[in-house]
Amino acid sequence: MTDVQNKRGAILVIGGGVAGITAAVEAAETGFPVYLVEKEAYLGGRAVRMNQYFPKLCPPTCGMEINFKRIKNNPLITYYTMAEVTEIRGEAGNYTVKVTMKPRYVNERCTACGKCGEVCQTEIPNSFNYGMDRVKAAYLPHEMSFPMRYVLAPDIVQTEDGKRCQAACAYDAIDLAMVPQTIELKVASVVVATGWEPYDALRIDNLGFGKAANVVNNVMVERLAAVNGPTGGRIIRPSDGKEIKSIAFCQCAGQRDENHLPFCSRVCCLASLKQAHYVRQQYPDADVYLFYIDLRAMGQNEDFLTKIQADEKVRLIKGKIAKVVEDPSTKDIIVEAEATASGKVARVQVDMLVLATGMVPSTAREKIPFTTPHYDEDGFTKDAPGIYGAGCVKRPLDVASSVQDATAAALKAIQSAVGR
Amino acid sequence: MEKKIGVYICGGCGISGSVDVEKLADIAKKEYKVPALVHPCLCSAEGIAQVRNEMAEGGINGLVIAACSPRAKTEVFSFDPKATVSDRVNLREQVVWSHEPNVLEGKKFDEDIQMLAEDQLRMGIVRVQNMDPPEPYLSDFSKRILVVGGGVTGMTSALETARAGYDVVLVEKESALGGFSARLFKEYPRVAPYRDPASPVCGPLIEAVRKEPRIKTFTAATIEKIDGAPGLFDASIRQNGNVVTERIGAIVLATGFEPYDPSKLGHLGFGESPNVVTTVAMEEMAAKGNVTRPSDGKTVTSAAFILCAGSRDANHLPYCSTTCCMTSLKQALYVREQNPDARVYIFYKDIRTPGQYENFYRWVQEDEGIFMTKGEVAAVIPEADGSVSVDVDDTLLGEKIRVKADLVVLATGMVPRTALGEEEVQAISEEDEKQKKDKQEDMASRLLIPTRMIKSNTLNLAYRQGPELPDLKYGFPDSHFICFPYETRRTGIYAAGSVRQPMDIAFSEEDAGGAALKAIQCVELTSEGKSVHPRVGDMSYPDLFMQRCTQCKRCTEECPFGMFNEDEKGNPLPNPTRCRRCSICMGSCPERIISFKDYSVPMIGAMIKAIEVPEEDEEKPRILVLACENDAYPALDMVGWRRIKYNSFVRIIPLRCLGSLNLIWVADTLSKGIDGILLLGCVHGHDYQCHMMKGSELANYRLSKVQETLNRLALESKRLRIEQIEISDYHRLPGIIDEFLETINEVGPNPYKGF
Amino acid sequence: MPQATVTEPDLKFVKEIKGCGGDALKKCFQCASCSTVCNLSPDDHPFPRKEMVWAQWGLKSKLSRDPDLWLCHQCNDCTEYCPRGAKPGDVLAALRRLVIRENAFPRFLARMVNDPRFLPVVFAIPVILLLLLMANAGTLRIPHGEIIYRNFIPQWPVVDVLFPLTAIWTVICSAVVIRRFWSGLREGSDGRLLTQSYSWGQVVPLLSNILRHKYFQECKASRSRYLAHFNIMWGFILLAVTTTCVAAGVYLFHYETPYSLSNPIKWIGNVGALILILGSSLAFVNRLSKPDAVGKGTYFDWLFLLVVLATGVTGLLAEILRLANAPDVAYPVYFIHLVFVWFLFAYLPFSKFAHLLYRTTALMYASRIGRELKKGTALSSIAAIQAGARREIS
Repeated sequence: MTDVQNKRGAILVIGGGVAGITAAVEAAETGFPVYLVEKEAYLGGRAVRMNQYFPKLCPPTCGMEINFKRIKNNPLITYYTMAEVTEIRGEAGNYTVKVTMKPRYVNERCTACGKCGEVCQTEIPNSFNYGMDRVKAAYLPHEMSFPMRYVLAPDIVQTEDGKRCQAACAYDAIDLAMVPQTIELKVASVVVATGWEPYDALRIDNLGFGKAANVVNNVMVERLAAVNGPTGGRIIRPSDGKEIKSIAFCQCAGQRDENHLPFCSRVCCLASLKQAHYVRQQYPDADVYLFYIDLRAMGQNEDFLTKIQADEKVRLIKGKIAKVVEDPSTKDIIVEAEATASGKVARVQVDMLVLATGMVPSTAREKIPFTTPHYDEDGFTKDAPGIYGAGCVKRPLDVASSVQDATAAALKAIQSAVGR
Repeated sequence: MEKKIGVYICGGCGISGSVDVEKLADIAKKEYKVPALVHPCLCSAEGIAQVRNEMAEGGINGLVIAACSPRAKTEVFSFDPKATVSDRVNLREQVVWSHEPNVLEGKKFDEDIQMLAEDQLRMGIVRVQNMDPPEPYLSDFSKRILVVGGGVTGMTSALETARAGYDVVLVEKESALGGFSARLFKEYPRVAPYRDPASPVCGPLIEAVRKEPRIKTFTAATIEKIDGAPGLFDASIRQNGNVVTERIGAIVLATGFEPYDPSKLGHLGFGESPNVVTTVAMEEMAAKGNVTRPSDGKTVTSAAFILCAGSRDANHLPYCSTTCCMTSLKQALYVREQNPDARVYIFYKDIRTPGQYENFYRWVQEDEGIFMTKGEVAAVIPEADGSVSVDVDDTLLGEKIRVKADLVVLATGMVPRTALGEEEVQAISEEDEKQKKDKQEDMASRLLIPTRMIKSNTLNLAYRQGPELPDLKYGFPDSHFICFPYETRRTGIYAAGSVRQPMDIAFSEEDAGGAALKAIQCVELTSEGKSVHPRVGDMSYPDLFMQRCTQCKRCTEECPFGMFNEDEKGNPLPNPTRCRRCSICMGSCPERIISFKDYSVPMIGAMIKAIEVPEEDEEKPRILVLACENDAYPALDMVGWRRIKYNSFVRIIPLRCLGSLNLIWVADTLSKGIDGILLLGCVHGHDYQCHMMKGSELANYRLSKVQETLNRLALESKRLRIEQIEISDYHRLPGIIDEFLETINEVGPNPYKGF
Repeated sequence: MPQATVTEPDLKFVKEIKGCGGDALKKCFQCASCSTVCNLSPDDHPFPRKEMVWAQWGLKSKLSRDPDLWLCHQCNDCTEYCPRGAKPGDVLAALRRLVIRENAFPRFLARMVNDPRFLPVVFAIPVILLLLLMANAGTLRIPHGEIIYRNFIPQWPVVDVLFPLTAIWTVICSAVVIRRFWSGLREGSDGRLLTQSYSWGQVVPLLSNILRHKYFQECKASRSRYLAHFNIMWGFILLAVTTTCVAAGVYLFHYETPYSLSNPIKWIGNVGALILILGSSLAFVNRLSKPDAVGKGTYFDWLFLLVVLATGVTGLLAEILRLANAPDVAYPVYFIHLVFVWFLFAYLPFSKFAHLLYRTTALMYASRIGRELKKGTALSSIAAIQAGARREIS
C-alpha cells in the first residue's frame, strides 16, 4: 500500500453537477487533489433546479448542503466556476489541461450582501428558471448558490448600471475590468461529468411546444413547483396564471423516437408521476391524465408508481399523445391519443400539457476537447484509459444512480492517479 | 489545553447599521473578560490578517467570530482544528437580515435586535469556553478490504480495490467464483450498438482475480463471525472445517440475489407442467446448447415468456427487478436461433428497457418470429400433448387470446440474499417494550422506522444491534438516501450490486467500484482518526465517564450505527471507529456521561444559561430554538437571505443532530425562565430525511415523554414544540416561529422567571 | 370467463407482408401515434395501430375481413410520425395487396398478374387472342386508304364477341371477390350487420362521396395524390360514358365510327382521355418525386399505374395518328391500345384495379354498420377515459 501514501496525481472533474461534485469530493476525501470545473456560475447543475427528488420527494438542496460543506472543508478540492476546459493533451497519468474562465466581474471579496442587486436597474431573463421570469443583471443565481457570490451579466458591464453596481459595493468586490483568464493544469486522470440537457421540444412539430402557451416541458414544471421558482411554488398556467383544474402529461416527448432520440431517458416516467403528485398536492380536485407507451418505474420505484396509481384522479393511459390542438379562445389544450387498452380514442381538454422531454448528453452538442474522441452515436461518452464518464453524460440516469456511477468513476480516476 | 479566547466582531453587510457592535464588544470584555475587536469587514484580506496576527501575538486559540453564518466565508474563517477551537456567531443572516428594526425615539438601535445579538454572542463565547480541540482516535488500523461474495460484483470490487493499491480478502461460499453470472449462456449487450448478446464477463473476471497478487481468495468459505470495528475488524472465515481470522479495515457486501422461488408461482403453471420453467432454467438449457421440452426432450417450436412472473405483484415481489425484460428478450433470441421456425411469445405489463437498452429492444423486435403484446396472464393450462396453453387478457390485439406453447418461461425477479432468513425487529429502548403493551398507537406513531434486520447468516457481525446490515425495504440493505447511495447504517460496511437493489451486471460493476471506493475512503479516514460521511473529517468521538453509568442501555440501543457493544453487566463498550459523531448517544444518556471534546451536554446547558431573561413585566418573552445543523439551520439562514422577518425573541442554538437533544436542556431552559422551546428537526417517518437516521424521531420521542412530566409539574406542555423542517421550508419558518410566540403569550410567562 | 380460441401466428404470412413492401412492420411497438395522426381513423377502434399488431402476429383471417384496410387512402401521415420507423402506410398497402391476392378467383391469375416473372405471359394472352381473331377475319395487314380501325381490328368477332366476353368474365370474377370479402366482413362483424337494415338512403350519399372523393380529401397531407386519383377516376368514367354511347350508336342506330370531331360524344371521349393521362402522369410524378410521402412503390403499384397511363396515351395517340393519316403507325398503336384496354379490364379483379371493388364494398359495409369514416372531434367522457386507463396491478 505504500504507493498509495506516496505522491498522488491530481484528478480533473469536468462538470459541477451532482455527478461531478460527487466524483470530486469522493476522490478528495480519499486523499487525492481534485480540480472541479463548472461552466455555470454555481455548482449543483440540473439537480439544484429540481423541486424534489423521486421517490422520497425530498429537496435536492438538503444533500447539496452536505456536499457543499464537504467542498468547503476539503483543502484538496479546487473548483472553478464559469470555466470551461478548452484543451486536453497527454495520456493517462499525465494530462495537460487548459481551463478558460469567463469574467464574473465579481471577485472573492464579495460577501453577497446584495447591495449591487438593489441598485442595478437592468433586468435579464432568468436562465436558472429557464427564462420564465427575469432577474437583476447583478444577481445571485439562486439563494443557495455555491459559491455564495454575485455575478454581473456582461450586458451591463460597459453601462451606467455597471458603474452604479460598482459604486454600491462597499467591499470593492466588483471588477468591471475583468477579462477571460486561461490556466494550465497537470492532472493524472479526467472524470467527464458534463451531464445532460433537456431535448429541444421545438423540434417536435405535432406536440405544440412553442406554439401553444400552455404546453411546457418537464424541467419547467420543476421550477414552477419550486418555492424559489418564478411562481413561488404555485403550478399555474403560463398563459394567464390560472390555476390547474386538469393537466396532461405526454411521455416520450421525443424519446424512443427515431426522428428525435432513439433511446429512453429512464427517469421521465417517474419524473412525470412525481409532477402529477405535485399537482394533486396543490389542487385536490385536479384531474391528471398521463399518456405513456410503457411505464418505466424500475426497482423499488415501482412502489411510487403503485402509490400514484392509487389516486383515482390520476389516470394512466397507455397510448402516445400524437395530436395537440390549442383552443384559441380559452388557450386550453386538447390532446389526443388512442387508449390502446380500450381501443378507443382518448380526447381530453386540459389547462396545461407537460411534455416529458428526454435527456440529451451535453456532449452531443459540445464535445470535450480530448486528443481522441470517445463517444457513441448518440453522443454519450465511452470510457478510455485515464478518461472516465460519470452520470448522465454516459447514460441516462436518475440522481442516485448518477452518484453511484460518479463514485465508481472516482475510483477509476484514482487508479490512474496512484503513485503519479 | 490552556485556552485564550478572542472575540472578533464584523460590522459589515449591514450589521453595524442594525446593532451596536461596540456594545457587543463591551459585553465580551466586561462579562467574559476576553479581548474583543470590531472590524468593518472581517472577511476582507485586511480583516482576516488582523485576526491571524492577533492570534499570533496574543496566543489566541479560541476564536469567536461574530459575523455572517458559518455557511458563508467558511474557507476564510477556517483554522487548524487540532490547535484552535472556534465558533461563528451568526449576526448577519439570523439577526440583522431576519428582523425588522423598530427604532424608538432617540435611540439608534432596536433594543430587541440588540438583545438578540448580545445573547447570540454570549452563547458563542460560552460555547468556545466549553470546547477543546478533538484528539483523534488512533490505533494500529488495517487497510485491508474484505469482500463478501465472489460474483461479478464481488470480483469487480476486489479487483478495483487491488488496482488502487489495497490488499483484499475475497470470500465466496460456493466452491468456484462467478456467482450467478457463471450460470449465464450469454449476457445482453451493454455497449453501443446494443445488439448481439455477448459471452459472459465472468470468465475473464475470474482469471483476472486469480492473477491479482493483492487478492487473497477463499472459496467454499463462509463468514463465521465479524468482530470489531472499521480498521479493526476481525473476520473469522470458515473454510472446509477450519477457521482462519483475518484483520480487516472495511467491508464490501456483495452477496447478490436469489431468483424468486418459482414454487410460489403455481398460478402461472409452475409445478403443474414440467414445461413451465424459469428464465434461470432457460439460461442453463441454452448454455447446454439445446433448448428442449423438459417433459420429452422435443425441440421447442414455440415458447411463451411471461414477464413480471411474481414481480410487481403485491402477493409476491411488489418491486420491479429491472433485468427481466432484457433477459427475456435475450432468451427469445436463443429460441429463435436454435429453431428459425419457432414462434416466441412475450407477454408483458410494460417493456422496461431503460436508457440505451431501448436499442436492444428495438433490434430484437425486428425478428419476425417474436410476437409481443402487453397483457395480463389469466391462466396457464397444461395440455395432454405436453404443450401448455396460456390465456392472456387485456391484450393489444383487442381481445382475450390463448396461445399454445411447448415451453412457458417465467421471468422471475430478484430476491437479495440478505432477505433470506428469519427477521428480528429491534426495539428502540426497553421502555418501548412496556409502552408497546400499554400504548399501542403511540408505538405505531413512533416506530415509523423500525430497525428491521434479517438473520441471513451473511456477515454475522458481533454487534449488540444484530448480526447483519439493517434492512431498508424488502430485505435490501440499501441506503435510504438518493444523494448518498452508500450512506450505510453500519460504518465501514458497504453493500454493492444486486444485494443493495435490483440491478444488472453492467450496473453491478459500477456499483462494485463505488462501494470499493467508499471502503478505501473509510480505511483512509479511519487511519487518521477521522469520521466518514456525513460528518467527514470530524475527529471528535464520544468519551464515556463510566463511573456514573447505570447500564440503562439506551446509548447501545439508540445509536443508529451500532457503535456500542455491551459487556455481560450491560456496560456500553464503545467502538470509536464505528461512530459517526451524530451524538445521539449523548442525548440518550439520562446520566449525561457521554460527551465529545467539542460538543457536550454541559456546553449546550451553559449556552442556555448564558441567555439573559428579562423580568416578567418587561413583556419580552424568550424562545429557545434548537435547530438541526444540516437542514433547519440553513433554512433559518435562507429566511435571512430572503430578508423575510420574524420576531426577535428567539435564541437559536444549532445542534449536530436533533437526536443529541438531552432532556436536561429542557429543564435548564425552563428553570432559567425561558418561556418556550422550539425544536426544528428533519422530516421523519418512512421518507425520513435525518442523515442520522433516527435523530429527529428520537428527539420527538423524548419530547413526548418530557411533555407528560411537564403536565405533572403543572408546566404547560405547550411550551415545548417540535417541527419537521426541510431545508427548502424557509418560507414556513417565520409563520411557525411567530405562531409559537402567540401560543406562548396565551399560555403566559414562565412561572420560573426570576427564580 | 369466455373460452378464447387459440391464436396461431402465421409466420409465413408475416414474411409475405415483409415481402410485399411491409418490411418494417415488426418495428412497431404499439404507441398508437399512427391511429392518432390519421384523419380518416374513427374514434371507435381506430386504425392502423390494431392492423399493425395483427400484421405483426400474422393474423391473416382477421386482416382479410378488416374493412379499415380499405378506408385508408395512404396519405402516410402515420409513416411520417411513426417513432419506430415501422411505416404503417406501407404495411397497410402491402396488406391490401395480399388481401386482393387471397380473395381472388381464380387465385393463380392473381399470382401471375402480380409476379414480374409472368409479365410476358399476361401480355401474351391478349396479343395472341387478338392476332388469332384478326387472322381468322383476314385483317392481319395494314389496310390502305382512309384509316378506319374496323378494317384492321374487325368488328366481328373482336368487338362483338371478345370484349363482351371479357366484360362478362370480369363481372363474374369481381362478383366472386366481392362475395368472399363481404361474407368475411359479415363474419367479422359480430352480428352488427344483421341489426342494421339496408337502404338506398345509405348508398346514394356513399356513391356521391366516392365521386367527390370526400374521404380522400381528408388526407390533407397529400393533395397531389388526391388530384391524381380524382382525375384518373373521372377519366375512366367519361371514357366509359363514351364507350357506352358508341356501342349504343353502333348496335341501335347503326351509327358507324369514326365520329367527326364536332360530335359531342367525341368531346367527352377526348376530355376523358386527357384527364386520364393527366391524372396518371401526375400519379407517376408523385411516385418518382416524393417516394417517402407516397410510400413504397411495388411492382403491384407500378404495373397498374403504367397500364393506365399507357391505355390513355395509346388511345389518344391512335386518334391523332388517324387524323394525321399515318396508317403504318396508327394501326399498330391502336392494336397496342386494345391490348392495354383488355389487360386493364380482364385483370381488374387481380390487379391493383381491384381496390375499386374492395373500397366500395368496405365503404358500403362501414356505412351499414354506422362506422364513422373520419376522425371525430368530440371530447371523451371520463367514463371512457377510465375504461382506457391502467387498471390496478393485481
